[in-house]
Amino acid sequence: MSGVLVIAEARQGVLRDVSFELITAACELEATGPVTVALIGSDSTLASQLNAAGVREVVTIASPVSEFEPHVSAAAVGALIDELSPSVVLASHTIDSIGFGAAIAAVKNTGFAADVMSVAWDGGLTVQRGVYGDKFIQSLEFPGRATVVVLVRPGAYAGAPAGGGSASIRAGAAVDASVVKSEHLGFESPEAGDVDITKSDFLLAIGRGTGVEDQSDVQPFYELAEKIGATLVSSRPLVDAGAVPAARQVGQSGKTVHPKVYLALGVSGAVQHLMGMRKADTIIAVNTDPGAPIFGIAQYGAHTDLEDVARALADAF
Amino acid sequence: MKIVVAVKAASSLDGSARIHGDVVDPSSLEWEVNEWDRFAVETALQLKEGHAGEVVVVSVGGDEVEDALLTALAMGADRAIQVNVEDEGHKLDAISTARVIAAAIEIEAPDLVLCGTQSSDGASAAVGTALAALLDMPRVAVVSSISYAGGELTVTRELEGGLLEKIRLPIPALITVQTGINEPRYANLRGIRQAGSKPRAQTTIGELGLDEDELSAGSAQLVSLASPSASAGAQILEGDGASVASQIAQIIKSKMGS
Repeated sequence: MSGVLVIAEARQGVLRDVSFELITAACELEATGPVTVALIGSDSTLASQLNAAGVREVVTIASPVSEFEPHVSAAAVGALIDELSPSVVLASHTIDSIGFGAAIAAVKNTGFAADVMSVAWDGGLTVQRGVYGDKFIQSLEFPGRATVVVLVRPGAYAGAPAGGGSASIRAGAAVDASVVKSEHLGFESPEAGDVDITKSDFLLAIGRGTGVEDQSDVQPFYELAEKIGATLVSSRPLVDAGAVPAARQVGQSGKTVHPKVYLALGVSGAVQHLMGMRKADTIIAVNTDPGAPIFGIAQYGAHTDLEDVARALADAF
Repeated sequence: MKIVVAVKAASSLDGSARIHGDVVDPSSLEWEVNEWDRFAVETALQLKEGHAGEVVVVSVGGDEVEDALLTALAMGADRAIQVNVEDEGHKLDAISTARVIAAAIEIEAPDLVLCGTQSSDGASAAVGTALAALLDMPRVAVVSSISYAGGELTVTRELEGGLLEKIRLPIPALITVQTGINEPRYANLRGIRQAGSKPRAQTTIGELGLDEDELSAGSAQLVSLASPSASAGAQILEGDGASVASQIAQIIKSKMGS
């Protein structure tokens, strides 16, 4: 048992950033052995990009279908585990990999950890992951496990530069058509909405902590945003509740933004939300819960009652 | 259609949450039905209302599980299976939980198994996917819409950036459900009254033929639990609402260059 197997991701013919983040993480585990990158069911010409510094081998696996299919990925990774006996399998904690990572761990009886923020190798694997919305951090080890499947949080590692490595590239065993269990019918892009929040330099974000429950509750915040010159955005729960249109959602399933200023009112800072806004130049968070994870990435914070702050803020501009 | 919904009693921390050794002080935990699972229960109830059938809810854990199952029954589920973890010190991880649920529901031979995409406390997003593999059921994870006709499900998978993927698959199948797929109903008084008299089966991990000690060892070993380092924290602005607002306004004006 040695080495690291990285499961790359592509969508609509393009490698996803997480693939290169995984290569960075894998290189930090090089003490366990060589890094192999698997590209499953994608155009094999993408393999040259995965030939990054530190990668020993890129294996392309042909799929019977053109798009991601979780059973195909599970079968391909399972076969590679049998062939390579890697100490660690690194995939991303993304929508695609959530669809097959735990299946492999359950069937192959491997060690397993998901939504992992950091990995280290010191004679054995140690990983860190958050629980309770990252209010506490677990350190996990995997004694006695020949192989550990780890799903790494997107953005936890910087992406390795594409290409420029000295890996060999080969085709692995194709996945049989009988493995396919679901049929891709098509992609649908999200509705554009009346505003492009990615174009705004100043975003006013509202979250569950505002107490907003429906559209009428949001009106004062639209007015505040207009008064202070910001564009109103929100976290997922308010979109789920139908209070705010999906086009204004920031986060993993919404938009990724990088404004100059992100002012968050009543946003706790769920991982999926932070993924969409952590690259803002300046983050200011107001939340009465001092333990809210948003304070972990904000430069400025306040624990004051946010109604008081909101009221006074309108007059401060 | 026979639908099984796996429901978790998820814990949240009250303001005083502290760590004792490697565990969160149990007295600072509050339990309720995992947010994602409420959407899964609602999905099942709507499918039953449209296509007839039965909704069975299943949960694994300690005493906290009973209330979660009663909540699902009060919403409208027909019956419940409660799998008790006998040793209070045993905490099952996601993969072990999936093994227990698989053993508990295999005999039910469901047409559809629904799980929440993830839990709010452990957040591994792993139980559903592992359970599907153990039951050898086709699966789709992170689903934001679902419809059923002629033995097939058509679902929408919600991808990063709001991109949607439409997928068709046959039943039996397992789907993990995203929040926002519907509007979970609240139990009305009649539902709450009826819940207590609906069938509730109780079993243990041992009775399912599994080894609780082995399962509690799990797929990882917890070596420590800690608070994130405080150094990463924000500079806290002090004062009343007006004072904080004026400090925020100053920061914004300087950062926006106006």
